[in-house]
Amino acid sequence: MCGAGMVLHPYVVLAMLYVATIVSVWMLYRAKGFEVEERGYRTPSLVSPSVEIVKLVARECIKCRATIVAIASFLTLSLLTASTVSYAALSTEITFRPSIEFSELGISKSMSLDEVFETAKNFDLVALQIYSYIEIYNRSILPLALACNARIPQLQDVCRCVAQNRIVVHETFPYPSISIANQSFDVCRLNLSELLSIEFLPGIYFVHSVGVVGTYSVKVSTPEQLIIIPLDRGIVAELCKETCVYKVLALNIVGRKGLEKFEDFDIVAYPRNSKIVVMGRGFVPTMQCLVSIALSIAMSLILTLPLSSAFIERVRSLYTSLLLQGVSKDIVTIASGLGMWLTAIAFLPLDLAILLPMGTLSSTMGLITYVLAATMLSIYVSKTLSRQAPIAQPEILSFTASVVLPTKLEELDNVVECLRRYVERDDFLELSEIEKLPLDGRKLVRIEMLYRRAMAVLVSVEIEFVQVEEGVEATLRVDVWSLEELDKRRTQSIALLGLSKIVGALRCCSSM
Amino acid sequence: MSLLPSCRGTYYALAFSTTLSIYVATYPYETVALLSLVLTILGVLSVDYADRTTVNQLIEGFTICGARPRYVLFAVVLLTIVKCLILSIPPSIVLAVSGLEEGLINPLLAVAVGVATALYEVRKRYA
Repeated sequence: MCGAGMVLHPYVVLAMLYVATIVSVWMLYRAKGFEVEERGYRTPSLVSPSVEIVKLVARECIKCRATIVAIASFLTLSLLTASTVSYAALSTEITFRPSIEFSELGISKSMSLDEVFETAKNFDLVALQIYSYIEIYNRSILPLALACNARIPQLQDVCRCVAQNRIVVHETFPYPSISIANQSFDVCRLNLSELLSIEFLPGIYFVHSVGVVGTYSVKVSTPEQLIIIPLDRGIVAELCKETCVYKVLALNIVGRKGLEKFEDFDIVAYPRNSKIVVMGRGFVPTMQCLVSIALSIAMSLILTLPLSSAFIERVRSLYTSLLLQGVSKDIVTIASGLGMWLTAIAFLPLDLAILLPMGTLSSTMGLITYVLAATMLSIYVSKTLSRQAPIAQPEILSFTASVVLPTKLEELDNVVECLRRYVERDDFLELSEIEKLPLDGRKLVRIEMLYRRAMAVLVSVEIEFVQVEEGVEATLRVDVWSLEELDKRRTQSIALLGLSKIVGALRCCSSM
Repeated sequence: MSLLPSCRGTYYALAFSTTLSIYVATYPYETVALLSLVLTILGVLSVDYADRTTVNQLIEGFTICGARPRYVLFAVVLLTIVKCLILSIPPSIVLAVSGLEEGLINPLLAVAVGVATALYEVRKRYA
């Protein structure tokens, strides 16, 4: 049977880890969605273009085989960190002389009443401070339930009265008995003033206290506000019938036997070398643990830096294309980093599922390692992409070409009309304007086209037709005008695209 | 062998083996030994990515010079084996010194994975 505290064998965990990773990547790779019948209208989409870019980058990353190695590295390193986590309880040493010397002291605000009565068996003194006023003879009084299992000189009289099942009140209390929980108790009048000043730790008193404001302790100020009742299950249950806030103080005078269940207490204190060691419930990672995290992140960087070249190679063409489309460099850089980061973070639940059986602190440290390693890889890749991005400047490129057409100058109108039809049907270029200028003995045609794959790239082609012996010589000059930041290579490609289109169209049209 | 200093993967392997050695020296636990084995394999795969261009150029050079495929294969496999040993021997020594003899299997496994990857790459090239 597997219990709640089951710890899986590392071999099993590793096998699960790799099988799950490979299956997840395969499923993501294979997932292509469902084809639906296309309708005649489109629903306007409010998806941000930046989100689309991030999705594109993430898709490219998922398709990359290096992703599997990177994710496996992150998972293994987080498992490595989690398996070496060490932490220490928060503790401090104070110089303080308590009113009652103790060998161990436990303070809890979260213990259940059943646990309180169970704990009472192991301690010499247990004080249950109940922070709910009870009405006794029209007075609001705070009850303190007490159990004494040893002789404590400072509380000798109080313990004797409590042991006789009597309620201890201040000496000025005028009534002979008190009725609590439908039971009548005889009172035991004592001077409780001295009890108010019994202090175990700074700000922790025998009587009800809520803390320290500056140098002033907020606690029961007058003995008339206090009654001490026996720590009896029936009475306490009746007093705590509704919402009940209480604090338990449990201490031993000699020897340590009650703090075996350390986790039951919020604060534990014990004397050591004339000082008192106070330990809290919180835990902090040790220096060794922090070194482990640092080494894991260093290793993850060393492991994933070579892989980053594969990612960069994969994303670079997309990066350049987006720049060509007019998307700003900053947006593309951020989207690349975010896309990569999201791909890595998508496997975080898997990491969590593997680490959870190792405990909360180990899981947390493992997750921190995973997230930091993924973040650093994303930052490195996006920075490298940004650095390697082509430096683009707005520029004008000019190309010229010459072609002889087997036609006559007078028939050029038909050729130009044919040219218009060819350009209008083009996938890359959109006809913006075409004009004819008759000159002396020659003709000039100017065609302006917009490059469809960009926002503001204009391809202008000027063709000069001159009659020669073989036919008509057409001299073409192409200019590319760009308002966007285009690198030289792209501009050149667009210019050559425009030129080849027009030359091809001219040849086709003149041979008809 | 003279190609080794030109390979980025050699430096990655050195850095990785140093870090992993420090780690296993700090935490000489059985779980760490097991995970170091996995990390070594991942390291071999990762270093392979770093030198892919260099190895391609090497194959190209050999091919232009008219070398037979088996010589090319020998050169590539030898280069891979040396890198795998650089990557895996220091941590395995540290593990063995710490009393975790299972660490001694690391170089063998690293070489096996490395050679398999190299064979795959060369065969893909000549396919």
